[in-house]
Amino acid sequence: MMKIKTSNSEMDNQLQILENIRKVEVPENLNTQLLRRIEELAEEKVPRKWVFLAAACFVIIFSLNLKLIGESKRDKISNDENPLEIKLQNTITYE
Amino acid sequence: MTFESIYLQYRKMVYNLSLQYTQNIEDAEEITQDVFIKIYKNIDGFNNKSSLKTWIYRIAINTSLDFLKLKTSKRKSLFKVFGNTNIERVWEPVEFNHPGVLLEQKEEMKRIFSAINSLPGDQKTVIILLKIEGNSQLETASIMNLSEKAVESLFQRAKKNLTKKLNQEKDDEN
Repeated sequence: MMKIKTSNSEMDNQLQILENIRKVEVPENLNTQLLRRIEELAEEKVPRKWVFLAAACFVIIFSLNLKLIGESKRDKISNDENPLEIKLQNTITYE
Repeated sequence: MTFESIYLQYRKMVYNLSLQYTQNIEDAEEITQDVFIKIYKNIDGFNNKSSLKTWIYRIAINTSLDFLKLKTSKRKSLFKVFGNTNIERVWEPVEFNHPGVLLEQKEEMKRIFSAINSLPGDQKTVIILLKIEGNSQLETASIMNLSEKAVESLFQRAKKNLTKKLNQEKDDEN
């Protein structure tokens, strides 16, 4: 059987059928499932003050490290450039 | 407003909206859960620039569209494994299982939804919000963050594309 083609204006009538879709109630099991997921989420969550504390510790350790590296570099340079330093040239070993 | 009261007030709206996108109970349940988890996580960040209803609508729409995109790409990669690369990026539910559709209208609805599912996300959204959810053009414009004129032109484009799809389907059947 040949089907008649739809025109753009007829589409409005066809779309009217969509208005017959009824609203349905939410299944009861959804509430318990959602509650379980939220509880899991709450358990996983690390308290904010611990996050701040960990971040602060990281910043302190990192800046201390930077300071130490900077100081050791400075020491090395000053040691290398010391004109008064007597370098040991004697490498002869005595048996 | 507490999360519990938001859930009680909007759960039906979110569930039904996700049903319109997926036409499948299991998928709609999954989307509804995801939407409320997002709301739970972000409720503190909600600013009153838009109404709570509009905000929840937007979350539900984006979650539904992302869900469909993910499912389509999963299906697409599965097709690729079996060597069939000639598939369109079209969402079709594994099973048309929409509890809001009357039994005598099921086949007709299935046909129309099949065409709606092939539309781009924004056109699909405009049809769902205007025709199924029964929102006004102004409400739809606010939810989609568009002007009323843009909503009207999007709806006309969606209708034109639907007509094309349905006629193409009829041609294939003849």
